[in-house]
Amino acid sequence: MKQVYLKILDGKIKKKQYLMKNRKVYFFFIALCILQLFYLLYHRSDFKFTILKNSFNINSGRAYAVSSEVIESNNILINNKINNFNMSKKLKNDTYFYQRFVEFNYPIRIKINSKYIFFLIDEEITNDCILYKAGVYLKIAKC
Amino acid sequence: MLKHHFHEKIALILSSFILINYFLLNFNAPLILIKINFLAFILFVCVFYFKNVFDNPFLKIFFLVLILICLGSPTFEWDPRSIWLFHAKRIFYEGNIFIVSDNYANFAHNAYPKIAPAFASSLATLVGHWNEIFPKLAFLLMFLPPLILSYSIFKNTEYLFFLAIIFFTIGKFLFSGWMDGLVAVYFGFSALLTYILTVEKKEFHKENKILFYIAFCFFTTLTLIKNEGVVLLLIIFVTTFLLNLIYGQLTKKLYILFFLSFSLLPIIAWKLFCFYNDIGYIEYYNLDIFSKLIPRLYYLKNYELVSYFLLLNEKFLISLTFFLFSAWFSWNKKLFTFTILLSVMYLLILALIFLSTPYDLYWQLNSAAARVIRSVSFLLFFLGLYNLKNKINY
Repeated sequence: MKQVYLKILDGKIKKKQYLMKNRKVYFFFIALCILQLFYLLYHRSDFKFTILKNSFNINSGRAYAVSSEVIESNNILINNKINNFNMSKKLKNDTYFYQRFVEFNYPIRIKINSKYIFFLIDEEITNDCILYKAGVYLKIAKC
Repeated sequence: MLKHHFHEKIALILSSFILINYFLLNFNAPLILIKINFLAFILFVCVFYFKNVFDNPFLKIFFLVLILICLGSPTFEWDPRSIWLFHAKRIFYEGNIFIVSDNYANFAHNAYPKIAPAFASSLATLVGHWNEIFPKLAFLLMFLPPLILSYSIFKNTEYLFFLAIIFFTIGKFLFSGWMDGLVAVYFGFSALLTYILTVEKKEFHKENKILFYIAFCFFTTLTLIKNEGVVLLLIIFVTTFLLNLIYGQLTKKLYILFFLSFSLLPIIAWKLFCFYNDIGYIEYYNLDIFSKLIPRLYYLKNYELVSYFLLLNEKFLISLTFFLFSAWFSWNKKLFTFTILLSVMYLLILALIFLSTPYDLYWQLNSAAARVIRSVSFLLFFLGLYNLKNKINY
């Protein structure tokens, strides 16, 4: 620690300590960094220990990242080996569903002229289609 | 090795691997090369960690904590999922960055630069599959080159102060999958390196050529992270040009700027590719810009709104106060002019961009201003601390 012996007052040597060389300042910044990391961990992230444990597993974190409808769409497509799909107008108009269906299901692609169309479970299937599979939140029709 | 620019060398090597990865994916390289490149990156991260274990302990420990937070948190926010990780997923499945030429899923802004998604896709290639959690770890790893380089600038308490600045200004953008933190950090370091190479020292580049190479890598990376990076780099060039003109050093320093400007070539090549393939054409032909900008210029309320979101941001105000205190405590006219010019130019450009948005002005400012102002906040903090560091005893 750098110190400068400045002057003698009342027979005692007064030491000048530079701010950035001061041990208290050093520990203050260590504490500040640790506090900030705790703040980031508890208030600025959605950290879950279960995700960390399985962070490299193939299906890890899906339930926390997207809604159940999106996960179900992926399960239906994979279980039935469907390699492209379309979405009902109602589903497409919902920006969240549209974007998540497209990015989460990739490399299975959305295609305008696909035979398979997703509908919400309470939605009516159009006349030229027949129900192919149904899940809890969604159903897929073959048109 | 420690005594001979160890941290600069590691920063340069890691930064080079990030760029090499991008170029490998440009040229449709075999998967084995991409894996080897990523393994080499990890190897040099290990060299940084284990060659003299007790050197720079705080970055090593805190970065490990950040890795754990990153691997334990899901990605559900809009831009990270719809843009950055979706690009990465596409590159992972298709093996090259030019897959976007099919313009699939236009909402993903296919014309955006691809260096970070390319790096994330290579991590997935190394692991062997895609999932919702680990690919964004690659974005966090991209912070390592500047963070390691900073140890050659700051030591001990100053380094802890620097880390506190990083946690405060970048915050969750370190691990949440957004690009704005990367842009801010690479911008801050690019500005400082330009200042050191072309303004501060007369023949610095001859003494320490490694900083020149690092600057070149950081510039290229900055432009390839996000479109803002190109604007920020151009602002750095203009500011440096003006400052050298004012101080009569332009003829001596012009050739450094000339060679550094080659760092713009990869982003120019990418944008030309996008332009000729009509990728993200809306970004190029947004005819709404002037029709939105000009009417907004006549209303004082719009200026109030822009000022409120940009200038009254708490991080910006604290960083500005710190920078002004630093300038008062240790006056350095060149550094002060350089920093203020950079900040003012970027703030003016931001104001113009926000005023010309095709979306509702309030909505646009509310959703983006706090993110983009981080670059200026980090710059003010970072150069303020650098200025203090130059005052030897404080």
